Amino acid sequence: MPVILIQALKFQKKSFMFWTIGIVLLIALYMALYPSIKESAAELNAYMEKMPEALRNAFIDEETNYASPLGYISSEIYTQMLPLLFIFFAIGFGSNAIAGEEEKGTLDIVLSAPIRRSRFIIEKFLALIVSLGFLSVLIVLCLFFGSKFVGIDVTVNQLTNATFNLFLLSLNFGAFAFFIGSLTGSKGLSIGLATAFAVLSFFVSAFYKLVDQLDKIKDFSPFFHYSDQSALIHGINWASATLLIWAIIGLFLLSIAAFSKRDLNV
Amino acid sequence: MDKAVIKTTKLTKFYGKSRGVENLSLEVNEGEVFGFLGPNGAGKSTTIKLLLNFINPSSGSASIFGFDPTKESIEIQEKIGYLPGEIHMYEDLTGKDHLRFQAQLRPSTSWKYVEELSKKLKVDLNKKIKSLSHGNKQKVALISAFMHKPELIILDEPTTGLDPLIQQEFYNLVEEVNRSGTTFFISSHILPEVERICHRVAIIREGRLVVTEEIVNLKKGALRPLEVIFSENITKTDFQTITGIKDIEVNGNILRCKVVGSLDTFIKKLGNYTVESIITQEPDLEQIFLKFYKGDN
Repeated sequence: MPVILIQALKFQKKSFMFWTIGIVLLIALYMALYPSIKESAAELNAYMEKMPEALRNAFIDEETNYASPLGYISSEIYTQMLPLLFIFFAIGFGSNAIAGEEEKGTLDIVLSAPIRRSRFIIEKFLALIVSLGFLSVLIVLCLFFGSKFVGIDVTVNQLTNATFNLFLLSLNFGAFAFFIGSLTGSKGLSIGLATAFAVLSFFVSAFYKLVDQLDKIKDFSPFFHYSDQSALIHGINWASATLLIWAIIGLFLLSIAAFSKRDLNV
Repeated sequence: MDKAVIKTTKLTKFYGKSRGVENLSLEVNEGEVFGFLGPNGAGKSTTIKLLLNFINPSSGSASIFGFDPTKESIEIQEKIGYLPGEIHMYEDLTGKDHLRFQAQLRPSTSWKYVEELSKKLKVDLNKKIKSLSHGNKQKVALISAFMHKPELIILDEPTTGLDPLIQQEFYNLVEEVNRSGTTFFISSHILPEVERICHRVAIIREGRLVVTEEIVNLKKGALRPLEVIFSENITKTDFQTITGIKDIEVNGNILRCKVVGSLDTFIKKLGNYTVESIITQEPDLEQIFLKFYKGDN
């Protein structure tokens, strides 16, 4: 039985509850705002047109009409609000999984029992995947019913595509935080480096068209692969998604290697 | 020959340049209660962490039940119970939930025994860990070290925070479990505790083993304080020639002194006088320990 996975999820009960409430309220708010945004769509589009092209490209999927129903969900929700929330959650969870336990001193409770370190890591990582999966399902449901309520025509399939892409993006940063935590046992370092990576990654994807140097490193930016096409409108770009999946697997394997042999701060 | 449950050979751990333990070689035999003594920072916890494979040795080796902790830690951990020196638990869980989680990690646990232990140590398992006092947390942690009836129990400073009554209960528990064959490795800096429950002790100072000895033998070298009241006045010179006598004080008809080792010569000498009473105490091991601690042995 995956005892550690189950325990890790049990510990998240309260957190899941608050996240659920928060997400439901936020999506309700975004949906409530939609009718008024729609009314000023023309104005908004005109405003967007006035923005320098580079800046516009940086923040908005150029194929997306900001005020169209799907464009609204894609650019407002899937480009800004949800990545921020999901990455925040994933980094928090990823850094807490190993480094958090190590700093709290609770690591020896499990590791003095006949549990291999690799099993501990695997179950903790699965807990991260399951948690993000839970939030993803929640998002699909909230957006589907929320959209229905304000008359936006969006299918579960479209929302699943976009959310899966979001899941992969946030899992990348969660896995990175998890890896740094497994390597160093420092929660602060893990959160700090993973956040820095997320911010840098965002800027690379936003400005690589303007700066040659950024263009060279854009392949290392999960955000670049996330935002190269709107999964909500055009479906998943599997070439990009596969790269994100490989990065996650790589970070996971690195975490096992880093944690299996090092001295623990217990 | 006794079978060694724990054996370390020149076990050494350095944290960067700072010393953890150095060339530690010791053996703990099956069925014994082994005390591991030393001042704070001497390397007691480092040794335990090496045995449990929480940290890797810089050099040297250890074996527990014949297994190498760095390669076969699962085989070892199936047979051991552990109480850490610093207790950290999942604060939001109740004692019961905490132990249930532990029991899932150690399938040989009998819940009936958990309940028996909690009664013995008088701890309420329905309370959340965060609401428990330090002593009660220690009790929950002790239960988790004992509950799966391991063959070897490693305890790092087990009685910290326990009140004297519970300490007594703990000593009884160790004796009872030891009678059924369980080996104990107990680190401590509380001398009377070690004297009370351990068969053999190792003293560690600044990362190095100073001495390994049976308590009985240590006691032979310890000073036994004596007070003898005679029916008439005596003089100091009457007793100075006795072998092993020290710190003689004479006050009229009262003699106060300390005697090392056998009391035979001393008692025979007393036969020459009329003695009204003799007051004696257990030999004072503390002085011996302190001598080792300070390194002036």
